[in-house]
Amino acid sequence: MAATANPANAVLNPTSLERVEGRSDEMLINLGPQHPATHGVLKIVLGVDGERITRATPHIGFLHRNHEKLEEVRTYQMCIPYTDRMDYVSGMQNELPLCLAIEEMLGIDVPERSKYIRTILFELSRVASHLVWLGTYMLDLGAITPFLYAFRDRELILDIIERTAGARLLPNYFTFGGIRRDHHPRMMDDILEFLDFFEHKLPEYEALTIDAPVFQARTVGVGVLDPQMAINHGVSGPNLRGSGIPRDLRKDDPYDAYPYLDFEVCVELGCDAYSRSRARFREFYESIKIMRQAIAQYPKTGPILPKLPRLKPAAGTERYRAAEISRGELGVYLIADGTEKPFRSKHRSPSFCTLQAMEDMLVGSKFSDAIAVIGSIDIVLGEVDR
Amino acid sequence: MTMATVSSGIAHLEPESVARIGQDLQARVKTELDEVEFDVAPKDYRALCERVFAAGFDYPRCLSGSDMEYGLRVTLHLQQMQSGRKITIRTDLPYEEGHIAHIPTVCDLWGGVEWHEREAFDLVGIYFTGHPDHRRILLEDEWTIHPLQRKYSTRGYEIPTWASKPFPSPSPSEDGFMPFGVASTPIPIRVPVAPVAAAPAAEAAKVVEVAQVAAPAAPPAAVAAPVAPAAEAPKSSKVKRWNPGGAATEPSSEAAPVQAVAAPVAPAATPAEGDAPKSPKIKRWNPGGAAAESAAEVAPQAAVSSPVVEAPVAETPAPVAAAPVTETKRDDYNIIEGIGPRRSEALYTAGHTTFAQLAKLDKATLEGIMTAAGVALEPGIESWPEQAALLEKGDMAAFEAYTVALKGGKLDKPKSSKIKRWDPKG
Repeated sequence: MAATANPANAVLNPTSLERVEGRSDEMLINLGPQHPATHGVLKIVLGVDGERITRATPHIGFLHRNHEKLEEVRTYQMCIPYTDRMDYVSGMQNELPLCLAIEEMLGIDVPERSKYIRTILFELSRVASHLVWLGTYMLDLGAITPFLYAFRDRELILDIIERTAGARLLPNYFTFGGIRRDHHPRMMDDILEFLDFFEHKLPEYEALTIDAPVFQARTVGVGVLDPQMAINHGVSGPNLRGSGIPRDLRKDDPYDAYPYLDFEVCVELGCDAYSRSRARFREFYESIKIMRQAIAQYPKTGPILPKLPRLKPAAGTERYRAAEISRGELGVYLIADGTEKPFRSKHRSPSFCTLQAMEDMLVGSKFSDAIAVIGSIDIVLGEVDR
Repeated sequence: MTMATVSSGIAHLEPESVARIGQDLQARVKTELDEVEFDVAPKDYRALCERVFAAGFDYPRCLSGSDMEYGLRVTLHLQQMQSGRKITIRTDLPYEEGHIAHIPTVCDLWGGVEWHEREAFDLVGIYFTGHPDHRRILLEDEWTIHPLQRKYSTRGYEIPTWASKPFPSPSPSEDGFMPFGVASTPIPIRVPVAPVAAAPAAEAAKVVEVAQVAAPAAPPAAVAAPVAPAAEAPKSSKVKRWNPGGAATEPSSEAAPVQAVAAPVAPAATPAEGDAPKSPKIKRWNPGGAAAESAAEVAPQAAVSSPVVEAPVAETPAPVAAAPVTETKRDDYNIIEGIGPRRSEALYTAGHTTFAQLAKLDKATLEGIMTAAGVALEPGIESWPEQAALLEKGDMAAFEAYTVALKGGKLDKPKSSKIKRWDPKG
């Protein structure tokens, strides 16, 4: 448990900046909320004893919009755009858990073609999201060039998404039973073209970033999150896989076209910032593999939407459904009351859970490593605060 | 580190053996493929969680708090990392004073629920006793309300009681077990408007009913019967304009004169008429709905048992039952077509509190009161005394028939025979 793992918490109200008895040389440093390295509006109160971090208390909620309340007065269909705004770096991925939950509640069969298109775009968003992580993380560690490369490539992905969905960041494209409209006629060709380009560039990025000696010197052995702790804290996604746990909902709880595709779960055993980065970087290759297979297999013609029933799940039914987005398990918990609006909808966001483990990762490490640790878990504050 | 060091060598548990975890606790189990769901009484929540944790469910997926309108619910989604088995633990907490609830924390078992519990406290108002860092997480510390409670609108204002819907009564299961253990002190939270003396009795009967359901030994007929009147009574008094069941109301109350005392209860008994169409308007989740139909089957018994359930009303210390007796008699003017909370308040301040008093007033006096209170005048004010007189007599059927024809208190004359108006009664 984070709060008792550190004895300083027992005597201190984490909000106050008062000194601890007997630790006259502890200094409190307020990191954020307006700091480029916090990737949004995250405030962390760090206690440092010389160079060592003695405690770290994240403060969140600066971006809180209470989507869950807003969704209670909107129909299920109107909730989808709200999910886009949670994790704005990979908006398309956020829509899927809600769609899956409703599809399972109402027993909607998604047409094969939609399943594949959703899978392809899901993975494309993953690449776009990991590119943001790669660029900003390298920027945090002092390397500027990868940031430019990453955003140049991300731009190409956003163009593809824009041509198909009409919007770059908040596409509102997936819907219950499939996708909202058919994709752009050239989308698959565009994606293949991008993949050729990107695959060609990836080894270069790898050499420039995670294989670089400077990067390894900054990240190996930093921010250690041991597997027991990762599980206990509900950490998911590449952060969990970087601690050696092979958990991937695409395999464990398959949805859409993932059962038909062959890919690998990227597990790294180092449990540190480097392993998490490596697990995330390897997912570039896996995503490319998935997209190539899916584009080869997907039915070129066919319906994209089934005949939908009234979107009114029976009163009293509830469903928790999660999907593996770039950051981990994004779940949605719905309670229906028989109307077209959710009685309660709760979003379990991966960054929210990962941030709980922040204190365990930071305490004991050097202050200069704090930025390297925060960047390695790849949080998006829009999703933490919802 | 590898997977072997992570998992603590727990045997692969079959769903049946997982279900046996809660055997001597007050819990209900549902097993479905590889998912197990527990509905547990709040007092056994912590004990069940400890057992589940010991059984190797080590990964906290989600903890959600939700306001169910009859109480607050905690739902815990867990997973066993090694086998991928999932488990859901639900517990329903009755409201406490101030619309909150208390439950022991489980964040010492799963560190990952710590922030989820803080969020449930922050947004829903569930207090987790023993939580090491019980502060608001998303909202500011100075915030006073819990915005995800259903009584707040999206703007953050409290929805006034007169505008809120009757909350659904939780459905007792076939084994007579309530998911939340409201055994001892049921706390009625929303006082429905009481048009006639029968309504508080119905409400009190409901209180008694809740207590009875909690005791599994109670005879099922007596348990099921009062559910329907209690759930429907406030609704029938509210639905004034459009009441498809209204046609059936009168014959049913005539056919069953025993129930005439509880006049607003009558719509609940409509299924007894046979194929009376179900009101399409009532779409809200009513877990007591199933019980309502079964109540109709045992309608004579319901009539018989109603004096039985009324008997303990006097002893019940519920404020609902006590209110009309102890305070000065104050009828609810909001029922009257054309009177809302501001106008009724103006009348109360002017010293008119009962239907009898209102029935004696004339138009000029009423207008004087309204002008003095600064409330806008509207046509149709002269119909209030007539409505009040009907209510005073307790003639709900006549009152509803009268108000159906009213629009804003004014008698609604058909404007033109050419414009065909849709008649919901057919």
